[in-house]
Formats: sequence, C-alpha cells, structure tokens
Amino acid sequence: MIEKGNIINGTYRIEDKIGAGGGGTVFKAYHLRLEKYVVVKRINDAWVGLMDSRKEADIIKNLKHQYLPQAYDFLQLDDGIYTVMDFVPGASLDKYIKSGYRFTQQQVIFWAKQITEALIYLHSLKPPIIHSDIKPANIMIDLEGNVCLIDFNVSMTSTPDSSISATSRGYAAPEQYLNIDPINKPEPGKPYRPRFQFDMDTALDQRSDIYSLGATLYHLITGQRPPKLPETKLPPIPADLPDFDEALINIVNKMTHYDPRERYQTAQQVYDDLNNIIRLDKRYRSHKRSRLIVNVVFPVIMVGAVVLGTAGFMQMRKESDTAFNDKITYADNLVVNKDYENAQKTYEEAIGLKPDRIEPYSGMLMLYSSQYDYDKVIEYGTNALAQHNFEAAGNSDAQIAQFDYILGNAYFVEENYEKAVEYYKKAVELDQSNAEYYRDFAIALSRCAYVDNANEMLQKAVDLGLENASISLAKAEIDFAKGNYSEAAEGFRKAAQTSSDSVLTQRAYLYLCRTYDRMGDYDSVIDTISKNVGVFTNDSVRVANIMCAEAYLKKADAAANDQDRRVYAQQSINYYTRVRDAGGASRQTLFNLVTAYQYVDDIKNAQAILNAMMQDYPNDADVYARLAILEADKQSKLSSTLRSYDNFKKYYDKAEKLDQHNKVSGTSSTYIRTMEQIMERLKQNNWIKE
Amino acid sequence: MTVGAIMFYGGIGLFAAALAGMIIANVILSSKWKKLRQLMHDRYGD
Repeated sequence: MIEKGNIINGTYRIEDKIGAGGGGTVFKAYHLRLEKYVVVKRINDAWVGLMDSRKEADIIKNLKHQYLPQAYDFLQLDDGIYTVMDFVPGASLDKYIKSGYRFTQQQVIFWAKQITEALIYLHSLKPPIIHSDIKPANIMIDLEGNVCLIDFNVSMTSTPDSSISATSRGYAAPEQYLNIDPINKPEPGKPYRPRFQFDMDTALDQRSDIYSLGATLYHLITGQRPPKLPETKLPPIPADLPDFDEALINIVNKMTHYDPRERYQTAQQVYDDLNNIIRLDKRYRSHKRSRLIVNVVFPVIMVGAVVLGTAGFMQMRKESDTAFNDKITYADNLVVNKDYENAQKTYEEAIGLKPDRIEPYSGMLMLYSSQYDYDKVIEYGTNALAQHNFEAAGNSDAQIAQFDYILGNAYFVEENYEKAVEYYKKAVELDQSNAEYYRDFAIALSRCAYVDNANEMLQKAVDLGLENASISLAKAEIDFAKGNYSEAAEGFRKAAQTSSDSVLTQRAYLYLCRTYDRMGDYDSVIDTISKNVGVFTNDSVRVANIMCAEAYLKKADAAANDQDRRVYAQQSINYYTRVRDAGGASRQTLFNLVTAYQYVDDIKNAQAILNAMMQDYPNDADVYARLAILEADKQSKLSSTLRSYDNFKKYYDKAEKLDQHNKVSGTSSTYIRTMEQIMERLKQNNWIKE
Repeated sequence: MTVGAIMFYGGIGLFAAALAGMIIANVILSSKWKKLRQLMHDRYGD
C-alpha cells in the first residue's frame, strides 16, 4: 500500500494520490534528484503479465509530442510496476465537467484539434499506438490552456497479437466490448450494477480512439456523460443546440458512429474537418453557394448574351443583305420594264442600306444606259468611283469589273475610245475570265488604232472561248482600223449572219453600215438598214435611223442636181425626225437636220430647231453661228431692197462672244469659220459696215 | 424592328443587365461575407 511520504526506488517521494482507474493508481510525486514534481502511476496488478513491460516502456519513453506527457522512468519493483511521467499542472477536463463548467464551442474545437494532433502522431508511429482510454479524466488542461493526453501506460501497440486495452464505459468504442450481455446477474437485496466483459483479444485500431474522443466531445458539448455501452447506443447530438453549431455536432456524431466503418477512418480526417470546420457550416456553404451561383450563372448569362448578340448581329447582316439584294433585283426588273423613276428610287434606297456596295451603282449605270443617256452614265460612274473605294469595301473584282465595263461601254458609245480603252483595261485586269470584256477591249483598242494590242486582246478572248460571231466582229474591227474595209465589211456581215445574240447582230449590222459609210457606199448603208430594220431594237433603232439619215444627207451633199438633193434631203429629214421625235437627237443630229431642212429650203423648220437649241444649249457658239448662217441664207434669197442683216449681225456677235475661248486656242468650229467668211463677204459688199 | 435587331440589342441589353447584376450581387455578397467571416471567427475561432 503506497502512502504519502513513501519513497519509491529511492527517487520518487509520494506527495499525493491524484486518482485511480482501471489501469492503475496515479500519484503526484517529487523527484528528489531533479527536484521537480512528476506523476507516478502504479499499474494495476490485473494488467501485469498481460503486457511486455519492457517493450511497452520503451515505446512510451520514446513518445515526443507537444500534447503528450514525457515518460521518464519505468520501474519493475517487487510490489508492482510503475511509470513515471511529466507532472502537468492544471486540471483534467473531468474536473471542469464536475465543477459544472460550460464549455464554449471555440474551446471544444481548440482542444479537439490538439488531441487529434496527438492521435495523428500516435497512430502514425510504427507500429501505431492506440491510446484506448481517451476520456475527460485523461485529458489535462495545462495552465496555458493547452491539452495533454495522459495515461499511456495501458495503451497498446496495434498489432495482431496485441491484447491490452484500457476501457472506460461510455467512452470505450462498442467494438471494445466482447458482447452486450452483462457478465453478472442481479442479486437479491443489492442494487444491480451490470458488469461487462471487454474484448481483450481483438486488435483495436485508431477508429476506437476516434470514438472515444468523440464521446468525450459529446460530454463536453451536451454536459451529459455518454450513456454506457453496450446496452445503450450513443444517441446523436441534437442539431439545434444553442451554443454549438451543426458543423461541430455533425463531426462529433460521425466520430461516435456505432459502426466503425461509418466513422472517420483516421485522426487526420477528423483534424482536417475540425481545421476546416467553417467549410462545413451551412451558413458558410450557403454563402459559397450564392457566390458560385453569382459567379457562374451571371457569366453564363453574359456568355449567352454575347452569343445572342453575335447571332443577332449576323442575322441583321443577313437580313440587311437580303433586303439589299431584294431591292437590287426589284430595281433591275423595273429597269427591264422601263420604270426608270421607281428603279432609280429603289437603287437609291439600296445605296442607303449599303453605301459602299457597287451593285446599285452598276444598276444606275444600266438605268442610264437603258435611257441612252451615256453622258449621265459617265458622269454618275466617274463620280461614284471618285467618292467610293469599292475595292476596299469588299466588293468582288468581278463586280467592279462589270462596273468598269459598263462605264467603258458608255465612253465607247460616246466615241471617246481612249477612255473606253482605259475602263475596258481595268475590267479585264479585274476579271480575266470574261471573253466579252476582252472582245470589247480589243474593239476599243482598234478604234484607237492600237492594232497590235487589239489582236493580243482578241487572242485572249478567243482563248477564253469567245464565240465565232464575236471573233468575226472583233477581227472586222481590226481590219477596219487597218483600213481593210472590204475585209472588215465581210467580217461584219459574217458576224451579223452567224450570231445567235441579237445585240451582237445589231452591232455587226451597224458596224457594217459604218464601214460602207467609210467606203462612201451610202446606198449599201441604206440598203442594209432597210433590209434588216426588224433586227434593230432599243438604242440600235436610233443609231440605225441616224446612220440612214446621214447616208441620205451625204447623198444630198453629193447630188448632181437640185432635184436629187431635195429628194435625198427629204429622206434624211424623215429619218432625223424619227430620231428627234423618239427623244434621242444629239446636238449634231439637230445640226444635220437643220442642214437637211436648208437643202429643201424649209427655213422655217430649220429656224425652229435652232431656236429650240438656243434654249437647250444657251452657251453654244455653234448654235448662234448656225442661226447666223441660216439668216444670211434667208436674206440672200430676198431681193436686195428687202434684205436686212441686222439679225445676222446679232447672231454673229453672240456667237463671236461665246467663242472667245476657242479663238485663243484656234479651235473654232467649221460653223464659226463659215459664219466669219460670210461676214467678210457681207462687209466687202457693204451689206454690213465696219 | 427585325428579328436580328431584336436579338442583337436584346443580347447587348442582357449582357449589360447580367454584368450589372453580377457586380451588384458581388458587392452585396462581399458585404455579407464580412459579417459572416466575423461570425465564423466568433463561433469557431481562428
């Protein structure tokens, strides 16, 4: 029997009995040599013989952890086995509990983490050490508020042959009990306290320590000692305790699960959850969920919005393209149906939609071409090219080439062949697959007498598969340019007769007539046009009438007698009148018509035409010159007493005034010079004074 | 207004609304987080 004052092994003077348990009796002792307090524990005799004392002592002495006491000594004396450890000043959790202390959640978590750290250390040793008797009485709180897990001398190493464990009912894990039936029976007259047999043969593992720690925490949280196993299972802690949160309660409930497989499997897992307990809090999780929703849902909506907007933008472009193309198609049809006003309006609307697309501008050129207003074609086309960079705006080369080709055609019709060559050249540079562009380029080159270049372009057209009639037409043009009029006439005739393209046929006949005209064969001009009058359509009718009128006028010029002249002039008037009535009379056509009227002595109609031209060409010196010439002719037919050259003088002065700039450059027209010659004669004859 | 225009301007509007919503929601959540962080500290310690 150990009593206060006893000196054990000559070193440890017993000061006080601290406690006693299943494992043994604990004393506070004084180390006489080190002069410090230690804890001496005498192992219960029941354990002696069940453990390899020396081996266990070595294990315990080697333990070094912040939250474990340091073992100093292991004594195998005659009266028992003793272990000597650090004395931890402070109080056990058991004492706190018994004093009615209410633990805060922060304290519980703080201590639980420290004990778990100690368990991680113990369980990580090779072989692992299972404390097996974790309970409030074995957890000291030192003066600094840190825990110290004590009472190791009955711990065991977790090996299959290990068979020692301490147990405390209520804190021991269910698997530490051999069975659930008490080993004693009630005795009459005595209060019944059931006793259970613990399983000493089963190798416990770290999950038992986790259970015991959980049960200890249960006690701290609820203030109630865990019900004693095995007859009563530890009930889960209610989740609505006011001072403890569900996160901690869930951890403890999991630690104390009856089935070891459902518990935490390692102390490290427990520590991780305790260390990250905030993440288990439902308010925190709710907040994180809200964050997740905000930072996922809104960006997803934004991405969706971008996709929607992009799709909308593409759709808008598609709709715009459709509306634009519809307008172009509609306007093109209006041009075909000669509804030029609405066609122009529709093209302008298309330009409003896409100002840099070339199609409506090309349409406008076609619109003016259809009205034979080639001056307007040139004016509009050149302005459009000056104001827009069609290439940079993404129009295709073929579209731009077509635009240049139409413009080249206008210059060609206006007989400005150098400009026609310029635009045809642009067209073939941009679209090298169109044989007709090369053909007309070759024709324009031949009109400019660039015969070699014309042949080269014609060859390219042939290489691109130009049809035979077109080849004949272009070759005839080249022959014409060379002055080989007979070959040219033959080529044009062949082209006209073999072409299946009515437009090309008309061109061939007109060029044939031009060739006859150049050859001075006016009868053939008239004959060709008369025989093929049904061939000509649209503007070709106008051109054919003009050619016929000019042929008759030239026949009138060359007529042998006055009667023939009047007959030819009258025919010329007939054709010119058709042209004028159709609204296609040019300035030169009207002058020719005046000449024809003069041949038939119809001064009145000649005068009427020139008067009308004064309105249309108010600054044209030639108009006044022709008026002056006509007036002189008119007066010359009167008797000398009735003549008056006042009007002649008036027209003369006006024409001279308007022709000032041509005088400087010496480019006055034939009409002006004729008028001036008449003036000289009138002055010489004193009809007009100096 | 064409379908494309509705989609395009709708997309812009939706984007702007979502962006504004996300900013506002984050401001609110940040404010709540400050309070929650203090509460977590009070309840669980460091």
